[in-house]
Amino acid sequence: MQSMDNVSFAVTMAITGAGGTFLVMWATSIIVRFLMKIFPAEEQQ
Amino acid sequence: MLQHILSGLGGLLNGSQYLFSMNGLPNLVMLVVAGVLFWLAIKHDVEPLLLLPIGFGCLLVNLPLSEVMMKDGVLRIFYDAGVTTEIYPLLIFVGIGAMTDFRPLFKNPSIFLLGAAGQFGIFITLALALWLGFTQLESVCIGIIGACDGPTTIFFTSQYAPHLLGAVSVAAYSYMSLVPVIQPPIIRAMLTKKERGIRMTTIKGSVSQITLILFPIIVLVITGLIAPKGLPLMGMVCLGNFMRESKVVERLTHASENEIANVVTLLLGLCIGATMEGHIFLKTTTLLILALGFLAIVFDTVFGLLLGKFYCLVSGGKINPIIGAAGLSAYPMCARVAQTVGQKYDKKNFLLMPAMCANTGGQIGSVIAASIVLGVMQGLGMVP
Repeated sequence: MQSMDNVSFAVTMAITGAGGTFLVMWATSIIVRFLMKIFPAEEQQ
Repeated sequence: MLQHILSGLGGLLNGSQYLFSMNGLPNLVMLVVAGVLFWLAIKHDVEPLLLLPIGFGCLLVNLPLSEVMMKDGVLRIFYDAGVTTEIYPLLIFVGIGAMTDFRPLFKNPSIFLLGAAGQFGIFITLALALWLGFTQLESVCIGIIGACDGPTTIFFTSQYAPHLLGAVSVAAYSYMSLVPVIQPPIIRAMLTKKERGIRMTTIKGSVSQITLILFPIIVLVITGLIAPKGLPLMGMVCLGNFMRESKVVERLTHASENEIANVVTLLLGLCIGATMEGHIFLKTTTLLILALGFLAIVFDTVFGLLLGKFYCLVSGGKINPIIGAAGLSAYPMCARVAQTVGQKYDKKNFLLMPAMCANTGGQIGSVIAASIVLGVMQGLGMVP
């Protein structure tokens, strides 16, 4: 098990955790737009 | 003969003697806490589905010389079956996925990102917990209160800091229900009157069923590829939602939302209460956790509002930054708070629909954030 000092741990978690969450949700929002374009709702068709 | 009778009677008085001795004082205090939880649940309707069984578990475990949490005790059996194995929170997630309607999200996908900002409080709280002397694993479990998602908090804490389960769970569920009290002052402090009064138009349009069916699969695959350690969490939410949107397993969907969720909620509440034995619960760490849990919700709201303000700026004043406060996972409470606060400044301002987009983003965002945290912890070698 890696041992890290608390400051490094907090900074790592903030950057990778917060950054990772943001990136995944941004990617998901792109995919949602893509799906809405490829599969429009029946009224729009 | 008389001696035997007196011994027998003495056995009946052991419990009361213990409770009113110095040793029993922590248990007496926790019996009062159980009463407070009942009062909040019954009189004030504060998360009764959880606070009532939690209070009852607390009552059972703090009655003098109680053996309910000892080996082969009834609550120990429930605890080992579902909390230690993490099955209870995962089963609740199936129900949450089955109950969640992602349609509002599809109508304005850019608002989805407010759900990411609403999770940033996790990481600030984690840092604060480290600073206060908690270990790294304990700090992660305390920080996860900021996900504003009870089952996620329980999933983490039961695995990585089970000795904190009682305090963390009570903090998570209590503050979630106090969102209508915590958020409005922060919104007033951070936003100008002009910002609060921005009117947003209702977003129209519908979503195709195939989009709704594909969404949980795609989210699951993306999150699973990046953070496979989070697959149990994300998998169960996506299973519930996939069943809902497929519309071919109504019985399973109905059971997940109702019978399964209700039974597991009851057992989980009892087990959380069972960890609140006076000598374990009444420590300085409990007070610190309660304080940190409050700060987690505050920071979530602050970062959500900051991103809301950014959206307002970039959109040329078309987006009301209040909806940033709805990016937490407390659904649909945060959306309702945004609507209520918005209408205080402009009675004709209907923020509910855009706020529901952000709130739905917060729901899925909390699970994504938790999965990412697990993945990072695995990468750092903190967990196998």
